[in-house]
Amino acid sequence: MKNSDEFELWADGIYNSMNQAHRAIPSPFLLTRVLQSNATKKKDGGWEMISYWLTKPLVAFTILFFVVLLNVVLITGTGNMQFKRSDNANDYFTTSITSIYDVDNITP
Amino acid sequence: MNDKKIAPHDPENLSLEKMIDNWKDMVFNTALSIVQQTQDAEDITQEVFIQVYRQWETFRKESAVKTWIYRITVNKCLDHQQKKKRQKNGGLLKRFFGDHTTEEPVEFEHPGVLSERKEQSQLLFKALQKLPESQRIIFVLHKIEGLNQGEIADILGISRMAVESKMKRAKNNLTEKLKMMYEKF
Repeated sequence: MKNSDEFELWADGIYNSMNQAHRAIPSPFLLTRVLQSNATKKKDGGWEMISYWLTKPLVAFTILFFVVLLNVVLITGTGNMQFKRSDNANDYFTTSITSIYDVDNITP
Repeated sequence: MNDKKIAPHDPENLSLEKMIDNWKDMVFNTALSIVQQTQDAEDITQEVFIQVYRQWETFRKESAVKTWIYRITVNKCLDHQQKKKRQKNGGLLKRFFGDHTTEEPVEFEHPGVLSERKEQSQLLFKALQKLPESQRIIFVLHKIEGLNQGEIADILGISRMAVESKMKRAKNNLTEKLKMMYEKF
């Protein structure tokens, strides 16, 4: 009990240690530093803005999700496309196979 | 906390010099209490004033200037903390690949604290370092900057109830951290 009272007293002292404290003051020449920095620091261009947004986790993960989704769609979709393509290829060969013999070889 | 009165000004025609003169102590003290490093706090102060100066014309005056500047300061501090975390993670990778130099946390001493309370305030800031960012910011704004719940709610864009509950959690967490320190003594 005594120990806990002691702790509370100690903690209260720490908790209230910033009472009546003054504000910290920055070093002089802040205005000069700001003016100099303002003059040299150029405003963010388009690429900086793009990289700023792309590095945000929410945007990055959303883009990643869409890339993965696009991949899934492409992978599941190409199976059907290949099937169709092979169909088309068969059609091509069946229709054009005779046309090979139509070409006359004119060289002796 | 002694509050330096903000001089009455014409918001339409305010020079950078006047802006800095009015709010430099407020911005620096807030940044210093959050990041606990003088050089970093000065860099943040500088960045805050550049942003304030550049966005002054687009500032919609929906909130008080003081609230707006506090908001920019808090955001800059959060950005700074994120940057530090990223550097720390990079440091972990570096250590993994052979660089074994470890970074010791520096004991922070607030320059405005009364001399008889310096040791106590050091312990307070040490415990504050271990709080989650949002709780630390609310604690600093309330206890060190002396803002009320309504002002903090405006700055952070959250409800008063949220400020109140976070404040309670901050105090509970702080007591826990202090208990651990007390047991070590």
